[in-house]
Amino acid sequence: MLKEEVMPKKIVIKIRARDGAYDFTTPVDFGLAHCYCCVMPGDAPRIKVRTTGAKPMREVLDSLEHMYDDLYGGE
Amino acid sequence: MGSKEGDKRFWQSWGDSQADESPEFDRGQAWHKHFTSFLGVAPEEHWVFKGRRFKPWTSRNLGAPGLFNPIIAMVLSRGGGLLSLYVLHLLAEKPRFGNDIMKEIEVRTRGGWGPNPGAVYPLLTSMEEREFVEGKWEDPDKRTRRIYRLTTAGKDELERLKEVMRPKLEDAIQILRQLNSDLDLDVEGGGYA
Repeated sequence: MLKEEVMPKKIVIKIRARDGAYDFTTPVDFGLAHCYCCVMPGDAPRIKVRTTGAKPMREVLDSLEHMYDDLYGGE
Repeated sequence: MGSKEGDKRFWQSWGDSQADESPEFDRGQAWHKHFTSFLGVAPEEHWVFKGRRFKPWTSRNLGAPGLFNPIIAMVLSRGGGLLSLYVLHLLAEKPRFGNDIMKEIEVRTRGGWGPNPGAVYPLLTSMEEREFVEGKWEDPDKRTRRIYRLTTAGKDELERLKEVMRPKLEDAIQILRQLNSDLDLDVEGGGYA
């Protein structure tokens, strides 16, 4: 895990998607951002960060799937 | 998780409009017109989408607003429009009061998402001002619990929001599944890539 002091306040996140890539610049304020992102402080090599964000991400996915079924499941 | 045919109207027609490759085609202007035509109000004035988090939808200068996924952005940075949609949905089931809505969301997401009062009560007030919901005190003398009921205008708005957000929610789930799969592989490999 990267230590807090070396985590930049702003990161660029690139996420592969079916039809291209989503680019976000967002504060690091959520576990998912910690667990799957490319941190590029200056010209430093890309570092894939993997921390305990996997669990909250699975929980978010679970929640979204339930909400989707709730919203559209009967249609 | 297939889309209903009717749900393709908003995004399908937007996709169709992208076939225009003439140099005069102004994508930002086209998106603004498309959005306004469907939702009845410009994106920068829409009650759900006008915030800074929806900048790709509200700015006319960004290239591909259709690619922007507010739910993924929400998951990554909090906030977003899913709460508005889901609260309307819960009120479509039956009249509810604020605390009931918060508890219900927490139960249905199995504790995964518990909106706070600071988000829910202003949202309900905003919905009432827009006449999407009608609020009445359970006991007008005590004024402790305000019961909200969805109006016809609120039901129409719910259907519009569902149509706009459905493919984005589907996309968000697929992307999260992919990320989840990637992370599982990472666990096998260990350490940083």
